[in-house]
Amino acid sequence: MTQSPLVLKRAIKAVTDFSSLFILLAVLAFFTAITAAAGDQYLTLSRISVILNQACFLTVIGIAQALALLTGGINLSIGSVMALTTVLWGRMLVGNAPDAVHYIIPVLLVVGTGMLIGLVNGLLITKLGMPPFIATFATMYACRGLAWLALGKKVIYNLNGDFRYLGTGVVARLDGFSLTVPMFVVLILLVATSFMLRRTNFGRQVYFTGTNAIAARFSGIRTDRVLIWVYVLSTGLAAFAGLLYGARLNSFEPGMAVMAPFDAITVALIGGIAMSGGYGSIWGILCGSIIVSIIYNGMNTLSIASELQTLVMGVLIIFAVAFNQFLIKRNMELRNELDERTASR
Amino acid sequence: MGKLLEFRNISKTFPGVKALDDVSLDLNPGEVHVVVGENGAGKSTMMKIISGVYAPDRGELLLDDIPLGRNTPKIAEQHGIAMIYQELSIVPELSVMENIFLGHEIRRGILIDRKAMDKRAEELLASIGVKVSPGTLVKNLSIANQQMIEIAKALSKNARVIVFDEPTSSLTDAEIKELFRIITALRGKGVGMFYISHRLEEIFEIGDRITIMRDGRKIATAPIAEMDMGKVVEGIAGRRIENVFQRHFPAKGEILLELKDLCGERFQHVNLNVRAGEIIGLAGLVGSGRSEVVRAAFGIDPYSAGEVLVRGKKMPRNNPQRLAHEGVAFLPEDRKREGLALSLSIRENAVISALRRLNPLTIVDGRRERATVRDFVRKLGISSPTIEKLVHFLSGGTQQKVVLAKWLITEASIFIFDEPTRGIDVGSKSSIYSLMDELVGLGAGIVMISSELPEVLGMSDRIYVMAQGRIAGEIDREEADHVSVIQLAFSQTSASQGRSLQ
Ligand SMILES: Nc1ncnc2c1ncn2[C@@H]1O[C@H](COP(=O)(O)OP(=O)(O)OP(=O)(O)O)[C@@H](O)[C@H]1O
Ligand SMILES: [Mg+2]
Repeated sequence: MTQSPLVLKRAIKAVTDFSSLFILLAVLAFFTAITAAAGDQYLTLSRISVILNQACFLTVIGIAQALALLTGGINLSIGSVMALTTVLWGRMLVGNAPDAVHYIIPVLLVVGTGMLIGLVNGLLITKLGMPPFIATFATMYACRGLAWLALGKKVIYNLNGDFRYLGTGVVARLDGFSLTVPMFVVLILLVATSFMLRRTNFGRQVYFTGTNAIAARFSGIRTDRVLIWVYVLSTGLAAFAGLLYGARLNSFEPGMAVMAPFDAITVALIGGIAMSGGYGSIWGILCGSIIVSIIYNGMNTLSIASELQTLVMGVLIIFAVAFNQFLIKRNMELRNELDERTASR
Repeated sequence: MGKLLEFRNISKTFPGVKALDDVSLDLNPGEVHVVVGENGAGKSTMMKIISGVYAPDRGELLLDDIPLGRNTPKIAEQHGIAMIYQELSIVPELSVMENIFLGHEIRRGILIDRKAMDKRAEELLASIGVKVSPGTLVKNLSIANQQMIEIAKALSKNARVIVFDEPTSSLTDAEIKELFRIITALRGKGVGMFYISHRLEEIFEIGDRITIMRDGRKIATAPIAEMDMGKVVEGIAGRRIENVFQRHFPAKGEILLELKDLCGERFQHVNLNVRAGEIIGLAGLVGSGRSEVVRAAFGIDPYSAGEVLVRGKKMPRNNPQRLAHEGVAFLPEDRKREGLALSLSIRENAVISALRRLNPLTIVDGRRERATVRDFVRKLGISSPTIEKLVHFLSGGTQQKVVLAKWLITEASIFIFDEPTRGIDVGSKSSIYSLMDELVGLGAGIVMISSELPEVLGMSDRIYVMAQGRIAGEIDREEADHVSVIQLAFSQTSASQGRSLQ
């Protein structure tokens, strides 16, 4: 192991750093091969744009979930929060009525309500000492119930055009490829979260708490505060994802996005975030969401039945997680080796 | 008589570190072979090669003069090699008997034969003179007794070679005596033992031969009778150390930390204080409540009555963050569980408690951070090629130094150290002592729990001795000696003695 050349090790390290990139290429190759066998071209500009656009929403909920996972927790309330917050304030986003308030107000209200529910999540976990799984499981039900209570069997539709621009707007078109507003929004979000996690005191505390919560407390980290903030941000992001989702579908309804928390887990796991906390990078989430998006898209193109798609997803998660676990271990070893080598030069 | 075990020209490289460099060593039946050396010298690595955890890059291992060939933990076990690791590996939620036979239960057909195991466990425990019933849950035992269970476990596998990797780092004198009695008995049965320790006084008591290691190489092997303390220290540290305990005595200032009549589950009516410029020793037997008191004071555990004052200000209960904010640093007893995030780097661990001081604007200043960490890596003699090494891959003593660095970087003014030099080599100990002396010179106050009497006597301005959860007495530096401290530690009732030997 120690005899293999440095360059090779650097390369392996790069692969293990971005394990999800590796999976991404494999998945791409797979669908390209299958489509090519049928005499078609898989990677067209328009298809790439569809895939990326779909990945945007997955990235947002993926980040939301990753924040919780990094502390060793989980957020199951993501989908219900999307529903409740948008159903509560969605009416303010209907139509283009001249007397309507600027759409930024309901947007802020939705995100604010999400953060408030996140505060509840955080308080249940820290002050009542509930395991995150249980706390967010409970708010998952409670929020869904409230959403139904608030709107009944109705749907809010025909949304404000300016607002819809947020979820569907096209900035530029190159051949079949559309550069959309959500792509920019998500890019900003990724840069911001990544900066927060890697380059601020708060981010350091998140990773440390996720790795060893007891030692974090002994180190004088306000672990309660860190956790509460994580759930506030995570759940607030979920609410924001609800806006993106609704803007694209041009409607809000209490039953929306039931599977979102689980899709978010899928994205995070495939993106290389460890369920045990303290390990993973936010950029992996981008890969994870593109992978999931490709798979859904690819299977639709091949007209695979949705039951089968679900099955494939399950199998894929098993493989991705096993693969990631192997790579995490290898990555730690390599990190160890490479830093020594570079230092001794 | 043939060699029981032989280590021939063994080398082992970890990335960037030559952990073992052409080391040869042997072990005779019925011998206690002491291995000493600075942190990161390769002692544990050598033992892990014997027990099959690591494979050597070069060289071979011989058992009864026959090359062992491939070695794995399973194979080593079958050959009667047992390890008592630096960190205990028993399961607290299981009973004594279940722990002893974990992984090699006695079976009758496909069923586990509990009765036979109970009987055998009782025999084993009796053979090493431990009075514990096989049904007791291990978590209810003292650390010393837990260690005895590990030994019983080794014996249950008919071990012929037992490796002790720093067995006494969490034992007090009375318990060490107990351990030595058992080692002596094993020696009589022809068991060969490697014995690693940083507590140099004890190796002359228990060892037959001694090997000194440095930087992965063997410096010397000699019968213990031909060695003396000075030579051993010089061999380990690579330099003479005239006076390990360097103390200057600055003028004392205000009271920094005061415990008033503190009562909790395991301690009653504890009064103590520490002033600026003072090092306070907290002595006593393991289990006398020392750790419990400081944990409560720092807000980790609850207390039922009394007050904790920092610079005269009353502190809330159960709020370690608040105490940290007031400039109190707390070095816990259990470094892996309570001190470190093992899968993060030296750098990430070392700065975690000082983030606010280093980056007041919350954005991490990478260059300042690295400079600060490097500074302490040098001061504490942390042996690692870079500060990016994951703590997980460091030697035991080096990990302890990282925990120390973490608290020193905070520039706190009140330090609570629970066994600060546990597992640290003599050379580094003396640098840590001078760092402590420097700290109080700058106006800090230190409370130090230690089971090593020389350390308590050498470093403290005043010593509080605890027995059975109470402060049994307070002794000034001038009046303190072995006898006075031990008398107090055993004072109270005879029950306290009974407990320590239980
Ligand atoms: N798995 C590993 N990966 C990388 N380096 C390692 C690994 N295990 C040990 N090392 C390194 O090998 C060297 C020897 O470590 P070892 O644990 O044998 O020291 P030691 O003599 O037992 O020290 P201590 O007295 O602190 O316990 C150290 O520099 C350590 O960092
Ligand atoms: Mg060691």
